[in-house]
Amino acid sequence: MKTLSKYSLAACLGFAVLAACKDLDVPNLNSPDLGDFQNNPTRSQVLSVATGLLLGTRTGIAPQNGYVSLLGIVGRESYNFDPADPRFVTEMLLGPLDGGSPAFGGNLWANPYRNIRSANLELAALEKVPLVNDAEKESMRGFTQTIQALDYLKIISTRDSNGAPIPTSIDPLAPPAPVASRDSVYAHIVRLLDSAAKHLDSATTLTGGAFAFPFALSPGFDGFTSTASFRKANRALMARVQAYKGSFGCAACWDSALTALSGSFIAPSGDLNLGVYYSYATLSGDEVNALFDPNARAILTHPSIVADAQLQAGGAKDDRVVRKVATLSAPKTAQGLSSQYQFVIYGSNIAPIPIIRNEELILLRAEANIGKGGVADLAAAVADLDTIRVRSGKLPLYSGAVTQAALLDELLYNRRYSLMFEGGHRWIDARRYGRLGTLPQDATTTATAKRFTKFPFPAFECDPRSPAPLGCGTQVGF
Amino acid sequence: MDRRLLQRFGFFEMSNEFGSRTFADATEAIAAYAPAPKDSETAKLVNSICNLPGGACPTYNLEEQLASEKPLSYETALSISGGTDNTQYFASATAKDDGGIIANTGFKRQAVRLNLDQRLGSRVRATLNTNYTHTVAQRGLTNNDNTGTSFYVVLSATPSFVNLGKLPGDTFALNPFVPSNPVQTAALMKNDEDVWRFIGSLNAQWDAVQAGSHYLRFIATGGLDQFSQQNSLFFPPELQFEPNDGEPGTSLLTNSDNLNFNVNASAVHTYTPSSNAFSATTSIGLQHAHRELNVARITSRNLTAGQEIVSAGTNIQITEERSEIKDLGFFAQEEFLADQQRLLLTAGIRADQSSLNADATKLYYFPKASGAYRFRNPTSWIDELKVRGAYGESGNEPLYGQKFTGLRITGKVGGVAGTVAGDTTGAKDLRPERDREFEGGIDATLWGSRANLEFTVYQKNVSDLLLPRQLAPSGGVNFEIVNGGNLRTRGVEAALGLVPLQKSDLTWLFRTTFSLNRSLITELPLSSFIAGGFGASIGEFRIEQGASPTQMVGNDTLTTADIASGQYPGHAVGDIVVRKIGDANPDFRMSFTNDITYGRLSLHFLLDWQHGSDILNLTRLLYDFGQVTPDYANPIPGKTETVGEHRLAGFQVVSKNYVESATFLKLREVTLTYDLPATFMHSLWSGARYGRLSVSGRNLLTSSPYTGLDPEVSNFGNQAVARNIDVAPFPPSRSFWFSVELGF
Repeated sequence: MKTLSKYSLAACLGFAVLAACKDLDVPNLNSPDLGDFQNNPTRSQVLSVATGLLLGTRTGIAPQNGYVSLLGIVGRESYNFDPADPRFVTEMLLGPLDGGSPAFGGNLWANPYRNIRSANLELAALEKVPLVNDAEKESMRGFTQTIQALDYLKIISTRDSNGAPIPTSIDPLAPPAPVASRDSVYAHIVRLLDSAAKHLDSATTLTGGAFAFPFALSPGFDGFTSTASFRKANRALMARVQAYKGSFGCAACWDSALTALSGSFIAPSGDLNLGVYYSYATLSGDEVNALFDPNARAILTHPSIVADAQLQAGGAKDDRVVRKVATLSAPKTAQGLSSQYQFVIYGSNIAPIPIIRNEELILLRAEANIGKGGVADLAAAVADLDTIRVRSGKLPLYSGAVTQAALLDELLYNRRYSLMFEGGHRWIDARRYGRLGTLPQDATTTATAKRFTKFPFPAFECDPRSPAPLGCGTQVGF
Repeated sequence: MDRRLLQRFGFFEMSNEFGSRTFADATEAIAAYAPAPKDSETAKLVNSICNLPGGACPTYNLEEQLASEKPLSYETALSISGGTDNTQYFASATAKDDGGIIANTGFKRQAVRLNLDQRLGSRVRATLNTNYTHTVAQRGLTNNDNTGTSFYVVLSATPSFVNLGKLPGDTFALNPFVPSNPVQTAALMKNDEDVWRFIGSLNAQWDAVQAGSHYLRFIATGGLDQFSQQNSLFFPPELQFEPNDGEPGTSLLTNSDNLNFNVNASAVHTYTPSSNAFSATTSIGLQHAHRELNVARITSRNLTAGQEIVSAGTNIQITEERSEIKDLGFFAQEEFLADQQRLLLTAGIRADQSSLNADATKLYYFPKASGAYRFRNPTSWIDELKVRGAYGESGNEPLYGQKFTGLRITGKVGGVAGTVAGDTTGAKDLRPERDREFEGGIDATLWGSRANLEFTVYQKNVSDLLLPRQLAPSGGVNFEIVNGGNLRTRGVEAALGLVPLQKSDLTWLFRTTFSLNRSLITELPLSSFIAGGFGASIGEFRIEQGASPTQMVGNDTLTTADIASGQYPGHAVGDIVVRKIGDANPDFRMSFTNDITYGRLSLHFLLDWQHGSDILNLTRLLYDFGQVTPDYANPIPGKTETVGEHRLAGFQVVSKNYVESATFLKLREVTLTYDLPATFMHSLWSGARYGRLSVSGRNLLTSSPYTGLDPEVSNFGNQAVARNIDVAPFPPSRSFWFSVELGF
């Protein structure tokens, strides 16, 4: 009948459209899928993720509220007078450091942990990936674990006695790992660095000699791109970690530091700037070095750096101040603080930031010898300190007492000026030698600045944990 | 054929100023800006500016230097409509140019529209609607920044004795307090959003069967929304702030292409028995929608020779983002109308599947039902009373990309490309939210159509909320998008229309609306999380169980009363806790519209009233830090602190110092119209049907205790939750218009 056929015509049309449109799947058009990488990693993916570890470890270092700048403020190396955010003074100097401030007290946490997970994903993928031979795999394991150790070191340097969790699962939905003590984290870092060195050695053995990593490294690693040369960078980091442990009271660690240094790229007569660096570029997708602030819009040098400098023979200040600090035409002020100095360490927005350099290695050797404290050790320390005084500071030779206490003062002075505004060294050194109380308490319009021993855990880390671990909330200064 | 021409002219002007502290003399200025004896440079600067007799400081109105344009604006609209029994058409063309109160800001629109309605044979009818629009919005530079460039951010740190105006020779003074001059920025910058958009739809209806009791029709509709948007921003190297990043000159170019396309096919059958006792309409159909959006952004810095093209930069960053969405839905509905069209019952169901869900093949079902009954003349003063009730379910889809866990492959380190893991992941069973709403109400026409009343009460429960579950960052991933939790909203809406006066030459129509709603997160399966804002120390929005979703929380200091209440065990007076400091949801909103006609004159005015709601006034915080709030130096009786110092002392510990009420009463529009007499119109031109002259004003008055520029403000734009944060917004404006309307 006429009516029925019209009904069936409509129904047929409907079902036809239905059948045609049943395929509604739309893939991710903007990035590859993590599941694919975890289940079927390809050679090009594992190589790219290895390079990506350098990208991830660099995140959060150079921003004006990043690792160098925030640790510089609490260590009285720098100020940040950004007019758009008064918290650079009110939170970072007056305090308390607030775990609920993701850009300040709760900062310097998520980025290194993201890279730690990337490293764990890479290690898991290396077990499965085809078309990568065993030597290459061993070399990449060595590289990955070294970068992972560097990330843990940055985390524990900010949180110190609060400790930090050591995640074991790559499943982000697993319950968060318990918070490990500071000493456990340092033990983990040592384990990672030693395991990495073993993998690098195994790679060299498998091919009968050192070879270049199969993946690209950033320009900051030029000269350290083979299994043998990169191992020296690994040992350099180990030396720093052992020296830190020595300053916590581990007497045997001083010798471990010296052993590590002998395997590193230390060279008292070599280029002091030899080392590995975070790299920056203005290419699309890259990051620029925001510590380059040519008009001192926000970043200023703390005046005590100029005031406390020793003098060269001719009367000029320590050459490290002359080289790294410039005087502005007029002082900049904010909330009652004032400074007429800016850093000129980073000469452009693509200037690299050091991870670890020869100059620090020489100072670490001096520190280890001071820690050991024997007569010959202290003499060796004086020799290394003089190397730095003369070559870097253009200062006269050390003429003070050759005692552990006096040399420690001289060491900390040289570490302060040699490693100025590179990685929060002054704050870390002042804390580990119990000298935070010597940092100045600048007066602002509302209060006086406090000294902080550590950053709190970010609120995001605390909210999913029950009960909230110690170290959550705010960190009051003294 | 009807033709209509509308031409209006007008202008805009700034309607509210934030104000700035007046400095009496150099002593006051030096005490504020150069207190330390070693800061002689700033003291010298102040003395060189505050050099009027007696060391007095000049006072400039910096907001007026920035926003005192009164640009001439216009709107022209022409429309034609007409047709025959078989063909009807409507065509219109409009052009509009709204000037902006700040240099190089404003809005222009040109649009053409064509609607066609055509009978094709006795049974088929087709309708075509097309609309093509071109808009250019010049947006200026406002709201939060961390670079010292946004207009009011700079004003918050610049005292009123600094002259930022234009100097002879077409140059601008350098701002000695902040390396940025907003008057210069506005004059030299460009921030244009240029959109070309086509919206069209084609609808065809075939009356297949129209015999006796049966009426069967098939309807097909197709719709298309396509737009291309180009955002071009240019900041030439001459701007005072440009050299601060070492890369003078910045140019940004963003191109977006969007295509939304849908087709619906349905069959509708109405059965009306010969007794006409009832009519039953059954509809079934299906719908397919496809959406595609492609956005490419180029940011170019360090422009060679200060050229605007993005290839002139040495630091060029490119990003591209794509999305594609496919939806398919089926629906069926039954509608039953009976009792001489007094009773209406409907019931229906919809089934939807979408590529946005984790399982793109799964259908989600959403039923609905409603009933209404009309009482005719139940009492002498009620003409008609309709009682209605409805229940319906709908779903809110996840956003494109939320279900994916990806790797980021666009990053580089020192020029070398690398892959990093992403920091969000989507639940394996990501699905739409489910919104269940009950509503009931009455509609009444009273007193011989002299009044009508609508009243509705509703409750909405949204379950399976799409939530960003904040994961512990030590796991390496920050967010997982999951479904969970329950949000309940209850509200009341009412509208009353009255004709208080109805005489032969004077009528007054009055209409008022009222709305009130309260929402509560009744269930949250994860820990509370932050939904917007800058941090607990300043004020942020937090989603937590048992609280309003629009609550503002922030640091607060416990007082003796707090400890005495027993709600803070383990705490002492002076401890800082994070707790509720306000709520962005208003207590209620009302509007009042009045239309008074007296002979040829008619007057229309609209009042808008909001009661309650809180705003986080961070503009005032920035002004306090710059010590330029108008009341900063006002003394507090019995204290050494000034008003501004007292507020600032609470920074980060008493965040409610900067929370203010957003209650306002706004006179949104007043229009006075004069209808020209027909004889006069015909004497001018025989073809004229009618003519109207009118004058009107918009956003004329705002009455509010709020100290900021405008209580309707949102730094983060159009947000469901995180609104009402005020950081250096665009200043508000009012406009005045004169219009001529002709029908011919």
